[in-house]
Amino acid sequence: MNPVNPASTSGSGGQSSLRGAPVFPATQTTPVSSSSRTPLAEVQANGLNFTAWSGKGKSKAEILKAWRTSNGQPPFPDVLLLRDCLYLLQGIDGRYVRFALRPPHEQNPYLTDKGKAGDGTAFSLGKEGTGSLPASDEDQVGHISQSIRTLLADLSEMGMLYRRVTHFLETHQAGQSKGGMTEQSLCHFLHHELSEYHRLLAVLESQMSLGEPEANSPTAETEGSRLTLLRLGLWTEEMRLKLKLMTNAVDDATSLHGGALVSHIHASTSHGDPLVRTFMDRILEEVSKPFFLTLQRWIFSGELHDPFQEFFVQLNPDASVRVGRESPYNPGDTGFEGGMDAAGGPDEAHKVWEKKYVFVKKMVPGFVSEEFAKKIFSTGRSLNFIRYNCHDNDWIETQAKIANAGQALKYGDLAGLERSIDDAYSIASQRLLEIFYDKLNLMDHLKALKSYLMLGAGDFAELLMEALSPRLGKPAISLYRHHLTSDLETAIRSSNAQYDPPDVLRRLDARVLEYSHGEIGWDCFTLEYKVEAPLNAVLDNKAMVEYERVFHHLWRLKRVEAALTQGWMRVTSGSRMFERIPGLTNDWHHCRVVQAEMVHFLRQLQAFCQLEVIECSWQSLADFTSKREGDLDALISAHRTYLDRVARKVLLLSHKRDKQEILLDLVREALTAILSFRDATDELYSWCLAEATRLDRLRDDSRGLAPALIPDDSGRAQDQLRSIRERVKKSSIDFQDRVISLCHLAAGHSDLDVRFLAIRMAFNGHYALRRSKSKTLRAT
Amino acid sequence: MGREIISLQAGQAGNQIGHQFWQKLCAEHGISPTGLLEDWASEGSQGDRKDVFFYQADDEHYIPRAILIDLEPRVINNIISSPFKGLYNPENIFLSKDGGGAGNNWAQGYSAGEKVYEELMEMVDREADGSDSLEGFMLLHSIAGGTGSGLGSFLLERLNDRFPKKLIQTYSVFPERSDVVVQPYNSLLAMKRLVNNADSVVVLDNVALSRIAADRLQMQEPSFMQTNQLVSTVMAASTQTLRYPSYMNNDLVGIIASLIPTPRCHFLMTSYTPFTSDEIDKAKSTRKTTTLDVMRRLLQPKNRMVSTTSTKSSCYISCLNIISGDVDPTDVHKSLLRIRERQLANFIPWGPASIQVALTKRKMMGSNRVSGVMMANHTSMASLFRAMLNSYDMLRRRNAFLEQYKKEPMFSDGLDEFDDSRRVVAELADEYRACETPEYIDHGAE
Repeated sequence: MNPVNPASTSGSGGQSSLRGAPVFPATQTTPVSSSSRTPLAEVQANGLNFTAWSGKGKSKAEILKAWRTSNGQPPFPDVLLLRDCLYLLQGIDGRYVRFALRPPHEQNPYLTDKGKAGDGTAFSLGKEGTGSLPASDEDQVGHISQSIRTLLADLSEMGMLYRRVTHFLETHQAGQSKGGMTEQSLCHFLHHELSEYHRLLAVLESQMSLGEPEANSPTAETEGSRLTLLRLGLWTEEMRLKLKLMTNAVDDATSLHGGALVSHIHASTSHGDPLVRTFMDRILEEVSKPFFLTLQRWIFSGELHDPFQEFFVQLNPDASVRVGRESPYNPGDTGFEGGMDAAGGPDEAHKVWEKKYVFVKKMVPGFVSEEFAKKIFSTGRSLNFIRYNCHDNDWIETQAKIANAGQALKYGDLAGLERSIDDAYSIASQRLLEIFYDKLNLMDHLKALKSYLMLGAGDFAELLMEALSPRLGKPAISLYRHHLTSDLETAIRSSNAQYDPPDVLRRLDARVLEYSHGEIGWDCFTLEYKVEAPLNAVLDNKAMVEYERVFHHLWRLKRVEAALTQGWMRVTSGSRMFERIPGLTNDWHHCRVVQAEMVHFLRQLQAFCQLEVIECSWQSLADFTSKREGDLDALISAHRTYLDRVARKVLLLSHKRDKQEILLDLVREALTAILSFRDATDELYSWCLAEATRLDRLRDDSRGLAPALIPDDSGRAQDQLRSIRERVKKSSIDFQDRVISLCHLAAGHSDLDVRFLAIRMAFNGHYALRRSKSKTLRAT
Repeated sequence: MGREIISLQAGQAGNQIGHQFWQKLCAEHGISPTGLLEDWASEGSQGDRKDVFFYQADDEHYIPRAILIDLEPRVINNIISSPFKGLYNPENIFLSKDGGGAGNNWAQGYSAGEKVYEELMEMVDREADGSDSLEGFMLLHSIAGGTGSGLGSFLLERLNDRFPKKLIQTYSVFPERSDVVVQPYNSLLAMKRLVNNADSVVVLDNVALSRIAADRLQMQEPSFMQTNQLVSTVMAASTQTLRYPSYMNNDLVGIIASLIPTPRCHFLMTSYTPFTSDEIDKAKSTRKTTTLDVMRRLLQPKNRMVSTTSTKSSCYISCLNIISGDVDPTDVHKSLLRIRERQLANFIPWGPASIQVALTKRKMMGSNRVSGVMMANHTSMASLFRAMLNSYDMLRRRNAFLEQYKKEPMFSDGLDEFDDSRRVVAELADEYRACETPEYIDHGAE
């Protein structure tokens, strides 16, 4: 690039004024070539002339002009400049004034490679503006004064702007770029505005031709309507502003896209200058039309019609969730098969709901607040979901309702827009919630999950436990699903579960989990609740896994509870007759005291799970659902909060990852200890039974009633008793240790409710007492 | 399949209480006096389990699993001439042929039982056969008189023999001092059976019942009907979790297992609050109660339905509150913390113990206010047995009124039975005292 510096070619004439002109700061870096005279001396030399001319009543400009002319520097004819200007205004080089090429970048020597690769605008120390400046060929014709120069530069700026706008139009309107509809409508607007500009140019030209004849006789200056450079500047001032704004818009459009562009343009509408404001509003009105069109289709029919990805809602690019989705271009054809595959396969409504569309924050237009945009997002999503995933028969009705609610959306009526969207949002969300609550009976299912998988229906759980116990004690390999399901069926039929709606009951299923060698039925039995689309938008797979996890734990508690009540019948009630057996000291009494501790532990744990955790969590969920507020997202997250809370607290999980399952493990170990205690006491019971029989026989024998065929195995019996005692003692200690550490750990748990469990357990200070006792023991 | 419970009501008091109890259950489950479902109860599920206490005849009638036994006809005749006459199975009503009663004599009642054993057991067997999974028996009686006490004792022994794996719970009304002259004898003899043959005994005593009734009704002499209403209210409330199953306490054995750690200490006291006109006629109205109010009042001695004397070391072995009505589950939590903070209850020093809380949400007609029943195993019960022993000893020292007893076969050879019974009751009182010390862990060690 060969720079043409107007300052360096401007000759020596106007140096005094040049020096002071801030608009050409580059002159200071350019060596002054043609004159060796100091500016100060020149001014002093001319001082005399000044006074001489002023006496004739002429203006100082005229004096200067005359002086220059006399010095061989006649003023450049305005007419020529004016003609050139008209060219310049169209971005075309004039005869005398031309656009300069882009000046070189003065690059920062410390700039990184990356910086150098950029256009380095940040470091431009060159000409004013990065655009080009007129280069005048003045020397041939005459001198151009500094003021005119500035004027020319200003005018030519419009040319530059015009050039850029037209360039944008050419590249975009011809369809070479994938600009999208927003750009296209911007082009449309620019076109419109440019024709305005052209009209202005035509007027100016005709003005000039009017003035031309008189230009030949400069003496007959008619002030009237003659075109002068100054006037040109004045008349085009407004247009220049517009052009500038247009160029800004054009600049934005090259880097931004769709909603983001709209947003950016919107940012400049809040301008103090009413002219700018109204102009930007007009741009925006036009530019946002495609946005509103898309918006309209989105919130009134749940269709995303956005071929250029300009909207702030976009299809999720993740291909996995798009399987089976309808195409946005021909929704009518595939719409009613698209959402759910006909076979009812693993198509998860939750995924569809969650992932089908994504919210693109940067595409949200500035005049729509983010909260509002979320509403819009939700509205369309709800409609889309209603239509394609819920197969709602009343869809048409809903749509009609929404369409009635909303008027045509446009930028000019933002208040109306908000109203329409609010209406559409509430209609769509309400309808979707209605579908979930009323048509799909979501609450029934949630209640069923609470009753069956969380064992809230105690009668059902007990019957199921009773029916399954004999089976589940056997190795897992001998479990057959049809046995389980028939037991389940029995439990349902004989409990209050039978009154539940058949749609709920048919979903309930018993299943054997995958098991490894050596596991017994208890380890791998689970209840299952089947949900399909669109219900699984709320009850997604992850949630169901969580439910089953909770079930497994509660089921285990229930199992141990059943074992303990059976144990109570034996240990507390049934063993009374053995108390007089010699050799037993107060074994049974010990067993009862330990058992009472176990019963207490288990009941507190169960009461905690059911009352403190499940009931309380349910309460807050029920509070939420009874209000029927928000949209499906709110519902999903309310349910998730509920389930998370239940799972976390029932399983006593900690927030700290490394300690997460410590408490749960302790509980499990305590439960195992209870079961082995049960076995040991059963053995004690059998031993007592055998011993009682033996003693009876001995007594009979001593009375000579029965033949003396009884081997004297009292020694063996004592050995057996010793080993049984050993086992009872071991399981008791195992259990007590676990409970003590459980209370200890739970008391310092991060979760308040879990801490409350510790309080429950040690309500009368039994555990705390024992801990301090063991401390004092250790101390002594 | 419903963990059925068969009720046996013996004697005057037993039948009167029983009658009130069945009326109450019918009202709660929506069963009309003729045994048919009321309209409101017949639609859909009420979430209840009627088959614990009722069975359904072929013609849709609900019939109580109840056996009514008396040796004199007055009370039972009243029942079968009441509007509820059609409710009971007539085959389950036993009235002694001679109708002479037991003359307030335990021994007479006991031996009358022996004579009609076959007949009674036939009824019990028939009821037991009619149950899918019989949970146990519930005996309603008083231990002061002849029939409830003597025949009741006999039934306890035989039921225990015949159904060793079934639970036996009794609701036993303990006498006021002045009821019958020989009541110390009768009570003591019956107590031995309650200790040895019952799994759990809910103790109600007339002194406390009259006091509560008088307090609630502001009436010096409450009628038997009114005190019986108190008892039936408590019975209905404490069986509520069996009849309205929720996540816990759905079977009797579960409840008893949590209340009774050692076999002999199975005498439970109850409290109920608030008594309103729903429960007893002409009750004062109560202001709205909160869960904490209810739980706190349940712990107050004046609301206990048994008059015991607490000492400083008296404590709860166990305690179960059954709260019904519109209860916010979070309130329970707060109330428990408050009770613990203020140490409103003492507990045993030898093991963990706490207030267990069960919530039931039965559908009530009309109001859904909060009410609660407490079933507790408390060591102050010993004072009741001590008092019983004292009055027995006073009578026995004088060898008063023993002729009537000696006439019966059991005492024809001597009065050993009295001494044995005295020993059993004394041991029980001692064990309850022992429960107040940490050494109870090694109780009974030689």
